[in-house]
Amino acid sequence: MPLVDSGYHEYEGSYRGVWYRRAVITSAGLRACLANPWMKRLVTLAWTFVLVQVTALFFIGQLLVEDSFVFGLLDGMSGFWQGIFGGIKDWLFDRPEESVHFVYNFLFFQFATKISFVSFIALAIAIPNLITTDLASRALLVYSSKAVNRFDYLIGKFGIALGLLSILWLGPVILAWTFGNLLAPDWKFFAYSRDALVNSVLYVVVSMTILSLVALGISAISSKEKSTGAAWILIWLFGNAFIPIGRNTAAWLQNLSISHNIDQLALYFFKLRQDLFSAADAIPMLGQVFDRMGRRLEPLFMREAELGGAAVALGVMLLTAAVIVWRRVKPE
Amino acid sequence: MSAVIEAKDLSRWYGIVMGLNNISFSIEPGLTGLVGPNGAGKSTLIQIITGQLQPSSGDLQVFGERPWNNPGLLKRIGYCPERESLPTELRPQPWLHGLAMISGMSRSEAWQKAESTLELAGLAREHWHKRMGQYSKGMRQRVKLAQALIHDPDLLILDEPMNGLDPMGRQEISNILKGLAAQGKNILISSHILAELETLCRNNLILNWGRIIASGAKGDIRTSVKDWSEQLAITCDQPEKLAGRLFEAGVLNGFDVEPGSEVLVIRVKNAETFYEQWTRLLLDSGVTVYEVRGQSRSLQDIFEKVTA
Repeated sequence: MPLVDSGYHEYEGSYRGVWYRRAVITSAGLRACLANPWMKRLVTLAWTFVLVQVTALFFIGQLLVEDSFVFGLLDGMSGFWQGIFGGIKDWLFDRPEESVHFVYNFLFFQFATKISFVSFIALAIAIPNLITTDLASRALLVYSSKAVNRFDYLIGKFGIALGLLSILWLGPVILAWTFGNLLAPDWKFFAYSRDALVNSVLYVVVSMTILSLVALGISAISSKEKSTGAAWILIWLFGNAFIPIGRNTAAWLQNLSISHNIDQLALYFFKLRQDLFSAADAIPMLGQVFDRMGRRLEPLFMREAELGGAAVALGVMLLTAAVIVWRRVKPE
Repeated sequence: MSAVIEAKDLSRWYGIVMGLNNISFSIEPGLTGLVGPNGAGKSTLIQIITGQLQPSSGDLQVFGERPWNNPGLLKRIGYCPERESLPTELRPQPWLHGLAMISGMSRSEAWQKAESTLELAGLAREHWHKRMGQYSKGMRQRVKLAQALIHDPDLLILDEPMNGLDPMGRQEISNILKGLAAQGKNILISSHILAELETLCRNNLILNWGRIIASGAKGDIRTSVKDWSEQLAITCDQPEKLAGRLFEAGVLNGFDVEPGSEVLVIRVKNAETFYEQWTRLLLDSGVTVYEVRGQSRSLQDIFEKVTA
């Protein structure tokens, strides 16, 4: 019995390992991010897009069902659209594997690239919760006395960004694919559309990893929450301003945009251009549409991937982020 | 008794600036004070002990292990930093709960531990629901102490833990620390409020300009300090006469006599020589002495002497 009892009692349970500690940092950070009302709205928005995607896939699948209500809807459309959907319907009947592959690949390319903007906005909200607030409160000083070193801390923080983007980006993609296939008229759709899933997951996971690491770097720039959040938005929007400028002048200027570089990854993984030629052969009217679009709009899905420049630019961005994090994230 | 912290020829420099200059010391179990003016090297030493800095040369071991890059050892150290380290938007319980889990405790055990350490640190329950940004300095100090204790460390490093506390709060924290020490915790306290360290710590380490200028128990420090003068208060009928006789004999460094008072305060040059001659000098003077009282000088006096 001690001479003076302060009421202090030793913990007698067992201590968990380092991965548990890293996961604690991640889950606490994720909870803090998701508590933000704007983040909740973004999650709702991302999952609403899932509903739209699943509905689109359901309608496409219904083209294979005789006497489907979809044909009634087609009757109300113009001759042009009736021609397009009629062509898709015939293609689905004649060569289901090739056509399902194309339709899913095309729709998932659109889906995965379009909802990336939700992730960019979400990161602007989440960035202060990554490292910024900890720099302000010198949390690493306290963490380090809990046997959590700089590396464990950064793994935990990286997990927050990755977890958040999984909820907003990867999760919707996987769920849309799963539900789209569950509502399809044939189980074979799962097999025929597997490339769409693989391409989407590869693109989203690589992009998520890159964005999370860059976000960590930006989060470590300052200990002021407003500064780091604003820095992310500025880098994103300022970079995007270079896309049209670079298209008409020096192409490398486009690589200043992180969105542009991420898009190149999408083009590389989906290789949609080859599929477009097959589709244009199968549905002549679709070929005419693509031809017109290509000449007038030059949409993203019709372009060739320019991976070299994008890879170099993303490498530089990652290196810069790593240097910032290493220099700024220190106990003292 | 094996040392909790042991340093040998320890140096740390920042470019051309010496933070610590070839120091060797050993800290025994219990409560130890770390004293020194700003820039003395206290923070550098604490950072090396808590594994945040690597020594430039020499060696420092805590519980027989080097702290740098040693998570196993850091688990045994609790650190309460001087600088603000609280997330102002959080409440204390969830924050401590998270820290307990980061320390490896399960969710339910972490809640219990968060509550018990807050109670131990003396933060009244009615403040638990407030965000830490609304806390007074004293309340924040208590939460910082709670976080240092949350993972049951064997060694507590407290950097200015009494800062911002009112006298009652200081007394409470002192009692908590004494209790923890009595329960086997080793505590190293850095403070500039020397009076508190004096009542709290058996041993002290005095740093200045990156060097250790004195260490050990207060008595040992006093003996080890060069030119340290013992101070005595003598109540007698003729203080001026006695002062003159002692001064002539060359045994004093100095003396004070309050006008109209019967008390003579003397500072002796060398205690041993003084006591050898004292009886003879007193008889020669013919002064009647009523009382001789040794004045134990405070840590503050020692500190001022050694850092002068």
